[in-house]
Amino acid sequence: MSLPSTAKPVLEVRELKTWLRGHDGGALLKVVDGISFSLAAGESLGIIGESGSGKSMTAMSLMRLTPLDAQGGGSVVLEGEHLENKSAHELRSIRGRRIAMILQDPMVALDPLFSIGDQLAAPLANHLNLSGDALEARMIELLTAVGIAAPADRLEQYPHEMSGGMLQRVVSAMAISCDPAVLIADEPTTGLDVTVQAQFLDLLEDLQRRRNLALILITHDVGVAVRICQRIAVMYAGRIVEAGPMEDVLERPAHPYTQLLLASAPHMGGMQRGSLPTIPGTPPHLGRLPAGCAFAPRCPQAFDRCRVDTPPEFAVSAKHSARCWLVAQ
Amino acid sequence: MLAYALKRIQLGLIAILVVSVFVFIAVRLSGDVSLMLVATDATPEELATVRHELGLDRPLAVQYGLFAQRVFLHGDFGTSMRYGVPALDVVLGRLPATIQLAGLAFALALLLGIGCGVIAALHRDQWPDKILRSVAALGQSTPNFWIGMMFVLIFAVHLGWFPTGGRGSLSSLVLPAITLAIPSSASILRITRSAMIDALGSESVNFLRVMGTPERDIVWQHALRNALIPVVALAGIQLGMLVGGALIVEIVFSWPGLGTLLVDAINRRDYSLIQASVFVTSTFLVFLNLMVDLLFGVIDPRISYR
Repeated sequence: MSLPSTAKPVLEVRELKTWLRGHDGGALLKVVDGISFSLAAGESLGIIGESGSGKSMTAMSLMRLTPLDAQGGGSVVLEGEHLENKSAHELRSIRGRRIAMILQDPMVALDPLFSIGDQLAAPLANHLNLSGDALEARMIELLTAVGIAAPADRLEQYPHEMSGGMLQRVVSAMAISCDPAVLIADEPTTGLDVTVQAQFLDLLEDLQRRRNLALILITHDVGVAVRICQRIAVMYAGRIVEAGPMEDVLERPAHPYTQLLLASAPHMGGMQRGSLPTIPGTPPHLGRLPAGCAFAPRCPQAFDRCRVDTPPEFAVSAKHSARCWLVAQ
Repeated sequence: MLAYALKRIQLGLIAILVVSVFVFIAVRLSGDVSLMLVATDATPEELATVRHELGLDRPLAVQYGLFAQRVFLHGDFGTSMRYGVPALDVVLGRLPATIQLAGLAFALALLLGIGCGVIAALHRDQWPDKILRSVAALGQSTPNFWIGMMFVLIFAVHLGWFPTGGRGSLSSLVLPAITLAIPSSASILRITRSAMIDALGSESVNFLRVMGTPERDIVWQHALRNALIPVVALAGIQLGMLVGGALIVEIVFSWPGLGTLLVDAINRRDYSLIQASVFVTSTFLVFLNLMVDLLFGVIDPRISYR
């Protein structure tokens, strides 16, 4: 789904597809099935959806790190260069250098056997050939940038000596170490204590603004995306079903799935009365997708056409679009 | 690290003490030493005199106390009946041969096991992995002595490449060392393979890939070092089995080490020599395990602080 953006995009994704063979050797699972968006420097996009909707595989597909037996399609253009034609070696020099990623659980993202300094030094040495005093100074600067006190002492420490929140800061320092154009954060607060989640989101927003990063925040938590993202894309069964500027989507959600997702999210800050509404049913198995719209079986507003034809992308307003027949009417 | 080392050494000393109790009791359970020393037609009085001279008429605890005192304070296990010299001297004279055999076998097992294990993991479910796993399963399940005898038959008798046995030039070390190394390298291969596969699929390796880390750094620095933790744990156990296995392999190849000495001593009921052999072997193993434990502290930074 195309999302027009005002500035020149640093990342353009067109009809990205990643199809996997199921464990039972059955049908191809269309885990990522035609994702398109573009992102300019300094822009932030939140990709939200339930687990299994293909959010994380979208991120891995952008990094060109899908399983060996996966079939792919579409194009990823990073700063004007097509990634799909790159060799493994070329991709390695791009990952961590021009596009980087923060993973979900900081407690297992770092190697327990190497000191923080060793691990932080690796991308700087690999990509920027830094060594000696310049390397040391850069590491201190990075740890300071992610709000770690006494950075010189931290370099000597090992992951087991630090808290989850602290480790996620170290992981972030590694991710931004080589000044990437694009930063992907895949559920970066899910593994953190609730008390440090908000602090970390503030840090992420701060880094994104200061370094003019194009940020993709992947989360199942609508509240997290609302907090720091300017744009939002809602994924369901491997596709973006609705996308647009954050305010537009929040105020006028066009797709019934988005409407239900927003209604079922607890409102941050306020006390909730009564029980939260839930979306009936479960996400469909990708090997047994229904004909027509994948959400139709769970959709309270579905009508006959939804169960027959797959809805294309319809414009709701200039920058806001949704894949739903209701929009066409 | 120092506190950890001291704690390990302490545990090692306790283990040696426990070993001395077992050695002492096991030999007492195997029969009456005094019967071996007197003529077959000795009178009960003569027997009692011998038992009194040996201290065998005193309570077991007192006997152990005297035994422990002699062993730990003077290194005295008594005189070997067969060799007529202090038992410990005989044992220590044979120790280098066993250390040479087990040491080379252990080095071979580590080299082959870790090397092939990494190769198998990197080619998971492809033909190199399938072949290596089959060979490993075969190596692990075939009895050591049979492999040894087949080696003698093929490489010594038919081909004449190596001597059939004895401890002469370096070539005499080849067949026994390989024989001894086979089961251990098979076990080490299997654990290395699965540990490497786990490590390569871990979230930290995922993050390294995301950061564009060269694949050789991922495999040889990060994954291998993580995989070495269970491998070192197994290697510690394998060392014990190697020394045990050495006893059998030594007999197949007439290797003049502790194994042949111990079997000989048992056959001749040379109690001092049995006690000295078992005690020295056990102490050696405790020492090796201590080294393995200290190695853990070197590989894994999380251990030093426990």
